[in-house]
Amino acid sequence: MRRYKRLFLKLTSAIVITALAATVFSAAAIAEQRRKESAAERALRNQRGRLDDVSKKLAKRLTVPEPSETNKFLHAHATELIERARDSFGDEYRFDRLVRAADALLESSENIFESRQPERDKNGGDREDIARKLERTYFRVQQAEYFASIAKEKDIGTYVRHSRMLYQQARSAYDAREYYKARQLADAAADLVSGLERLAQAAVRIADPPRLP
Amino acid sequence: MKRHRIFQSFRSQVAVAAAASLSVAALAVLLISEAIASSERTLVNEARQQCTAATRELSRQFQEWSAYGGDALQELPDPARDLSLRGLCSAVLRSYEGVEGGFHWPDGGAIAGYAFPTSPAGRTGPSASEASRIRDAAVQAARQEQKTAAIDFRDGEHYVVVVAESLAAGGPAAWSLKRVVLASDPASRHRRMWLAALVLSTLLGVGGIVSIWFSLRRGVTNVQAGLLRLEDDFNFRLPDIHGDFGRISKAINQMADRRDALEAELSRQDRLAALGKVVAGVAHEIRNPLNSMRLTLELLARRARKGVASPEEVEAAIREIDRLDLILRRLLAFGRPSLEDRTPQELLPVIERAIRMVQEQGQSRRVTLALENSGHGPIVADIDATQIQQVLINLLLNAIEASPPESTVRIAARATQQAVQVLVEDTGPGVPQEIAPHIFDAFFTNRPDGTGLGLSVSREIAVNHGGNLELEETRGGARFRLTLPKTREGI
Repeated sequence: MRRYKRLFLKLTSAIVITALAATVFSAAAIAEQRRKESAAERALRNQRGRLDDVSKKLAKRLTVPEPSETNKFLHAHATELIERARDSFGDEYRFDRLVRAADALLESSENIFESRQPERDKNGGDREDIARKLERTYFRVQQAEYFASIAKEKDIGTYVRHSRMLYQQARSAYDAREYYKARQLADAAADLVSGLERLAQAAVRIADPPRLP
Repeated sequence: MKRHRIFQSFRSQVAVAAAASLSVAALAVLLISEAIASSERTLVNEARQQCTAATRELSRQFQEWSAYGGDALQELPDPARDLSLRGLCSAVLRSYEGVEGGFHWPDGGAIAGYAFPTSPAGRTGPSASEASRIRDAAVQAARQEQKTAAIDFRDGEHYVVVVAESLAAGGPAAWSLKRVVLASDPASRHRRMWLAALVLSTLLGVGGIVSIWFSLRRGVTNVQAGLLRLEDDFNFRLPDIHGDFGRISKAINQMADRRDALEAELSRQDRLAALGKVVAGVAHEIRNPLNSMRLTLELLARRARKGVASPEEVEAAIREIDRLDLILRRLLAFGRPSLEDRTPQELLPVIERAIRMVQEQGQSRRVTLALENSGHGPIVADIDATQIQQVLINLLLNAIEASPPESTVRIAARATQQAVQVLVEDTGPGVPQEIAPHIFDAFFTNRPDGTGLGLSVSREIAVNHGGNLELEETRGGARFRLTLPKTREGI
């Protein structure tokens, strides 16, 4: 009888231990899954937030009165890029490049708008600073063709044309001693090239990082 | 003077020409090689300067990256960073023809942002050996105080110049590279072609000179040997030679042929002249005895008509006939004068016989023949009496003919220690100075009926005796001196 009693105790202990171990492992697996899900959710939430921000920025820009041809071009492409970014949820790199590209285009649009502000109300800096800025902008515009050759977009040539046009306008403003206007237009040209650069970067395939075994 | 002679030598001139050609070629090769090397050094230096400027500009633009709106490079994944840097390099290096460049990342030695915008072939990156040198230059630049380093190296046909500049301690480095194509540089290739052509043409020229030298030497040697042999053997002819020396040897052979023909003609003319001389001599020698015989026979005929002819006069005519026969025999042997009848004998009887032989001619021209003897005993000479009598007759007849009427031809004989002399002197006009040197020449005469052989034959007889016949200068008239040896040993 005692023998059966000991056997029963052993069997019961084994069952309890096994059940406890299974419970611990299951709890750990569930916790890891929950952690992963929360990181993805956070990233997604972050992406949605950035998308909202840039969308708001776009919306604000669209309210600008009497947009120029360049403004219209920039707004249209920013809109398209935001939509493409929305479709790139999950591809963090591509999403980031597209959102940043759209943001650069909107910055460029804003700088164009700012360049229309009356000169007397603004401080454009001294002539030498503007000259150096124009020099750097010129160099930046020179890179536009290379980025255009990488970014496989249907309307990519227009980016290059607008960047050059903005630089020419900045150069004309500089010659006319409208330094604030020159600075804003130079920034607009540089931002447009940055948008093009990011668009080209978005076209580059990034290898997935290695997974843990 | 000796050196001058040396440079007159054909061999020396050819050697000098060949040496001068080789010297010119060697100098030209040296100069052109130096020019090529200099141009290559210039190309390398220019490439180094270009790369230094390009690298500095890459470095500057990289430093200003953030100023013109670029994203933070450290936040970008490698491909995106590479793309941005390519854009930067592409814009910078567009201004540097033939220069490629990029950035060297210290972690893992990766090359990022490679661009070669002026490349016609669209290169995608440096070769493995170039990448290795780029890493070396980047490492060296990080260690340098000025943060720049340059490396030159030969890679096949290229000479590669790499310049790197460190952007930050332990950070990336900007680099640029240029390949100097030395061997396939069109200008260099043309220069090398011209150099090769120069060397080839010089070698051909020197080879030509040496070939000409051998050819001329062989030709000159052949012609010289032929001329030397031709001096000894008139029948020898130079062999046929090709080229210019062939024409020379042909001309020499033609000259030899013409000389042979000319000599044959001269020989024939000499034979004819000798024959004419013999014929004229015969006629001359015969005419004198014939005249003498005619006068003797005419005298004999007159005396016979008067009935007072004497046997001595007939004997005299017979002696003349004998003499005539002797003369003919001697003339037949004209080319081989013989003195086989030469004996030591008294000379005066020979002179007296000669005077008697021409006595008639003297009387007909009223010229007296006077013999003067020195009176110191007999004058003996080793002579052929007949030939010496012939000589004396010739001299006496000439003197009678030259003497004016009522004049005297003097004949004198005297003896010296080794010789005897016979002098025949007339009082005629004498021998003009302008013809005096020629009076002993054969066929020379100043008389219309003369043969020009009398004095010529007479001197030949005197010379054959070992003596001589000479014309002595006198104030008036002519005086001939016949010198004869006393003994056979001569004068």
